Amino acid sequence: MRFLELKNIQKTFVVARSFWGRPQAVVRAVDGVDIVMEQGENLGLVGESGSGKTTLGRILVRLLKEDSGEIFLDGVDIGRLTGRPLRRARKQFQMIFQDPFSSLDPRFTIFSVLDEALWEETSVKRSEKEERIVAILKSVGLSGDILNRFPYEFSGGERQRIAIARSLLLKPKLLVLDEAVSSLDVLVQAQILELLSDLQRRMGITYLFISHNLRVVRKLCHKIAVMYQGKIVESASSAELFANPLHPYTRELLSAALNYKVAAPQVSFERSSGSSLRDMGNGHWVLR
Amino acid sequence: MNKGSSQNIPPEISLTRWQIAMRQFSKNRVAVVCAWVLALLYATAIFADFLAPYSFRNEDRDYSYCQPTVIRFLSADGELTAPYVADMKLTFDEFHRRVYEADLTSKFPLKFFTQGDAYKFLGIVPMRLHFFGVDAPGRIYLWGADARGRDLFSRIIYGARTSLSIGILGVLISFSIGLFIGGVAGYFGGRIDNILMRLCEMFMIVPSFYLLLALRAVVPENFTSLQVYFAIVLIMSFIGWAGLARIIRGMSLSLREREFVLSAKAMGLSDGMIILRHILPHTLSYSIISIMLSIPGYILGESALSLLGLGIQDPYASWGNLLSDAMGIVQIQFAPWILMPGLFIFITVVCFNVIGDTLRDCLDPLFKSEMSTA
Ligand SMILES: Nc1ncnc2c1ncn2[C@@H]1O[C@H](COP(=O)(O)OP(=O)(O)O)[C@@H](O)[C@H]1O
Ligand SMILES: [Mg+2]
Repeated sequence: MRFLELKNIQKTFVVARSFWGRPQAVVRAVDGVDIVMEQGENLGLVGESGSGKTTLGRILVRLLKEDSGEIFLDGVDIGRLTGRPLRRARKQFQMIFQDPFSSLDPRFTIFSVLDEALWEETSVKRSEKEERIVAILKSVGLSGDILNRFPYEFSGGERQRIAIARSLLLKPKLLVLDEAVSSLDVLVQAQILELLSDLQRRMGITYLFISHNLRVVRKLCHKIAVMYQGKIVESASSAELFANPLHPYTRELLSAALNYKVAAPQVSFERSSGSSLRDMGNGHWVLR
Repeated sequence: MNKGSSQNIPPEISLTRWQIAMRQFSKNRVAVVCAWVLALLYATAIFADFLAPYSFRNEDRDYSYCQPTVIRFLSADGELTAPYVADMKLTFDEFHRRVYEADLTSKFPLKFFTQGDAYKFLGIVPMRLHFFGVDAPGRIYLWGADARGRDLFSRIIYGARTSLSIGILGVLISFSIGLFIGGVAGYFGGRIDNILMRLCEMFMIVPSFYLLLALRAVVPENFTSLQVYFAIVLIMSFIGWAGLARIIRGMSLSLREREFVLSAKAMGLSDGMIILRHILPHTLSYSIISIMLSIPGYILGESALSLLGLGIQDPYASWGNLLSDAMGIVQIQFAPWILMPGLFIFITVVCFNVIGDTLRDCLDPLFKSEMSTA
């Protein structure tokens, strides 16, 4: 049984409608994506802005409904869940958002922000919840005496730690991080990445790490999938992808990220009509 | 590696942005005065039975349009005495109009904490105690009497109950509807949004005063005064919710894309919890401003209805129906004090508007920061 399996996910957005409400223009944000992840094996999803990464991530954590496709997490078809069963299942897959300034409700104290994750445990006493919250704050490197403070008093990096702490309270199996460090400066980025791999060691979470920045992804992820115009154009283990990028788009990303020249000549890469990946051996797949 | 992160937070007390805004409000003298005036008016309305020397239905036709009573400190021969009220003798002038003349020889001392008309304090405790008054057969008309010799001062105080509560009650009802409908429409979007917004527009198309009159016409004639009161409140709330709902819907539409709403959803909170915890509270600063600015509309609406004789019925008092006595030029000319209720309507409306405007200035940064996408 696979840990996570996405099968042929499709999502289009209607961006213009006629007067009568008929769709006139659509964006194929996610165009037939298949992804397989094993437990403990982080996947980095990279691609330029607008390539559909956020849409895919949100479909995965059930914040968006896909048009078609299937999602299995630990053998459970979470794509089919609705209503209360879905709300119950949600704690298994959590998401960290890009903007740490917007992901914490500015009216809430840090305690209430974190307490919200414990919404299901109505019978637990406040003192006990406080204990758990302080413990989780410590584990993300924050002190426990900030419970009565407000989000605006914290820096971006600290807020992102708070957001991570909040999702940890739910003990998720899978954590989707959507550009979670992109708005932070390089030093803080490194600290958060360090924290994430530390947490993985201690809590056994698996990450789906979304970023436009290959360099950031490389530190944390065992595998990398490159997304372009709603499709996965290449996927391989990190080492393989960096050593042997096959798709021209991947090469361009690599040369932009690492500032090195890739040997192969620039080929133009038009939007591919097929969506089948070719096995290049060694777990390396590339779009034809 | 994580040591640095918690050290640089200053150990000061966390001020909520509300507290900051409220501090700013208290710096505006005019607004603070207005707030005190309103507080005074509402306190007066609550303790009306105790503060008014007479009940609202206590009449004495011998004193029709009696002019305001003078409280005297000097006796007939010019000596300083305890405050008293002189008896009023009815005479007629050359046009056969009623004129009341003070008879300084028959004195009624002004008494505080005196017994008078029976009432139930706060609607529960039976009492006869009044703040001030004079013993019968003397009568005290601080602000003059109306056509049936009822004390205008007392009736204005009782009228405050109706007029001031109608604003609050009306706003509470229409805002509950508006917040609920707007919040739900914006949060869910799609078809629900479409249906609810078309409904809103239906209400907004009809000019509200005609709708008010039309709905008032539907209220059965045999309603008691209290029933009419609630009917008027309901009718006005029914008209007033749509505008608010549209604005709240817009705010909720943009709030539902905010990441803290998405993360609440991702954590499995129900839609109802999200709307209550994350959507509506963010519309609060706007709602409070809007409440302050729309209360006068309800007070004026009731006044207008009552002025036309469609509102609260005599003998019950509201500022509007008290003012309806002042519709004739003769009354205004010879008994100008019957315009007094108009002054109260004016003061109340101005106070609410000043407070609303000041709140807007103070809460605006708060409001903007809440609705910005950053
Ligand atoms: N709610 C939406 N409505 C319309 N178009 C959208 C919506 N969300 C995303 N898109 C479009 O889908 C495409 C993919 O967007 P996104 O998933 O945010 O990409 P990425 O996260 O890789 O930058 C973009 O062209 C974007 O404009
Ligand atoms: Mg994105």
